[in-house]
Amino acid sequence: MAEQWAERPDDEIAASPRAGRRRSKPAPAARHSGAVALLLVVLPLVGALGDEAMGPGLGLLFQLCAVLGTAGAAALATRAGWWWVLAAPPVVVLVAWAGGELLGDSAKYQGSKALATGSVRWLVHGFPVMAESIIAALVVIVVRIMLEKRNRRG
Amino acid sequence: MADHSPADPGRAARRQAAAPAKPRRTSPLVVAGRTIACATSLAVLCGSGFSWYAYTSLTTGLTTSTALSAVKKSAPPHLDNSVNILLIGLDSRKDMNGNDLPKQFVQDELNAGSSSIGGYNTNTLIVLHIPANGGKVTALSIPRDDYVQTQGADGRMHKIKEAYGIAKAAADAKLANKGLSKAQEEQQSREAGRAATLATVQNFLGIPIDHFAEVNLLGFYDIAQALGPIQVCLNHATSDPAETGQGSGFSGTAGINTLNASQALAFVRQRHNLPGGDLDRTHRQQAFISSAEYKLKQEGVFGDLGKMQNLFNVVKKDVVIDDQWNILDFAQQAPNLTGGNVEFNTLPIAGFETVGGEDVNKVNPVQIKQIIQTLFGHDPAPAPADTSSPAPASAAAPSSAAPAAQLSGTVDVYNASTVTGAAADESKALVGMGLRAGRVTEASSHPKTTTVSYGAGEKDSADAVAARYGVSASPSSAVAAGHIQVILGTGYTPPGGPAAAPPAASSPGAGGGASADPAASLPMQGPPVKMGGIPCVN
Repeated sequence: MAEQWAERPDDEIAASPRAGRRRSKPAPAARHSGAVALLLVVLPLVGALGDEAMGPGLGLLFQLCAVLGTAGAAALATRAGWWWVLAAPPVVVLVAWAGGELLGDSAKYQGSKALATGSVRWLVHGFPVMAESIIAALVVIVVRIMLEKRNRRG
Repeated sequence: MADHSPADPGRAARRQAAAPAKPRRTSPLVVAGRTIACATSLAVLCGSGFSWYAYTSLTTGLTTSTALSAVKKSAPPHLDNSVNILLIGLDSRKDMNGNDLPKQFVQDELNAGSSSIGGYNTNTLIVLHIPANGGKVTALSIPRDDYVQTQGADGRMHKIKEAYGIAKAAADAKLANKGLSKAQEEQQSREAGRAATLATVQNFLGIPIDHFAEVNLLGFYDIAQALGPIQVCLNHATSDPAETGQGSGFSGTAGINTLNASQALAFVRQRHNLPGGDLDRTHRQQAFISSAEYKLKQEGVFGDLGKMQNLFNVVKKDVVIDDQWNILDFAQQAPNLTGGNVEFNTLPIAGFETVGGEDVNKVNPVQIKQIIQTLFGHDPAPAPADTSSPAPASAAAPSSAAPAAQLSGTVDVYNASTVTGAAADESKALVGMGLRAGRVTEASSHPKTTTVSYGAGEKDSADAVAARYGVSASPSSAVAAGHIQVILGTGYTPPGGPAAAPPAASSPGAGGGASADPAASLPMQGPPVKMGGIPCVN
């Protein structure tokens, strides 16, 4: 998936004077793909684990990491990479929440009934974080588009 | 998504110029990947959003209380992951803001006299114990007139129902000059009342209270109204005319009766003209909860989120729950509360007496704690907590409260009393404590007091058995090794209850042995009420 975040739209590639040399030297956007992956996936996971380490249940740290990570990823990703940045938060938040809870408080989720209730809890409490992450990414994307337009005009 | 912006003429021109040089199409694999990612993401987001909406709709508008937080600090330790919930029925004719309910409504619909009657008595106190392993739920009613040591009120002995009102009145006096509005003062002083009730019950039973729910007269009426006509069953026809706020206004015929909200409230409040008086009122409350649960189940409310939400919307304005009670956690426990998995019992009293001109129930706090430990200590602990901490600190060290597995030997029970079937009942109870059943028969001698004697190797078990009858065990060469002999004397009465109260808990066909139903071997006040149908009561 990281390769996809480096994927560049046709117009940018074609317009680039270095288009012919892109295989030998990665374009700036491609060089950011690792950072995008880190921000989008690893930062929320770190936030979830950090929150669990501080006490049972996920809270503000996870929320901040998820929102800032997604916003940062949207700032660094290419236009084509935005597909992935916008699609990632629901799955990343859910997985991070479940992982953090299962690792930090495994005794609470023993048995199918407890696990089923737990998964509903993750969905319920995860939704605001998912929504905030997507909104943050959309804001960054809109700002970037506006800046690009202004730069072109200028 | 944002790959192209055809509205930009400059970009379109560049694209046109560049197209012949190096056309690049998005790979089908990438398109497929994007589609799958977006579909998955959308599915998760929608599922999450729906869950969040349903949860928020259920919980918004619910009144929560912080009273439990302080009380938990002084709670006895939890030995396992079981959950104890206290249901409080508050006999108040005022709304949440301390305003009198409409006079006509109180008189005609609640049959509760005027708003000045009743004060803030907690006339219903039911503890639900949901075991850690999800097994059978134990529900115990505490008779409202039990004379106990209050906590958080004035620290003196009172009827347990009065702790709320005493603490509230004290808080009202403190808050009077703080410039609070009437509603704020009412809400804060009620918190003091709740805290006192929780602390008093916690201290009386020797268990931690994890959650509570409080409902007042109006709340009960609204719930009954939302439930619609509800069927209850009476053993005998009864009538209790409402007279100047004293009678409940209930009348019913033997068998099934269909009640509206007003009648339902009268049904659970009747105490006059009943064989067991106020204690029958407690059984009425248990029976009503059972009937309500049965009706909800029959109508499929438990499996229908929409119906559940409608019911919840009606009742949540009148119910107060603790702020730590997560609806989702409760949803996990709720299946234990339905499907006939709950049995109500009433904690025993040790007789009646008059204190300061008021009739109260005498109780034996040690016996109460023993019963609670026997009933609630039954869950197999998920963590190895039981081995390190024997029991919450209480005076209930010896006796039947001890874990059943620690008792050994065979118990022979001989009946010299006039209580029919006492030997069989006692044998069953003692087997419930971990002993093997031996002989069960009539005694050849007739001692006045109950005696416990033992053969070689059974001193410890015999001591525990003797504690049940308040006597001492003695060694006897006439008793075989490994045996304990119990002779129920002519003065024997079933443990715990007054002579008038039969040890009914052990007699009904609750089914199973003592190990399957630990309450069957314990002295309870009257027969149990089993959920899962429409139980008949007095």
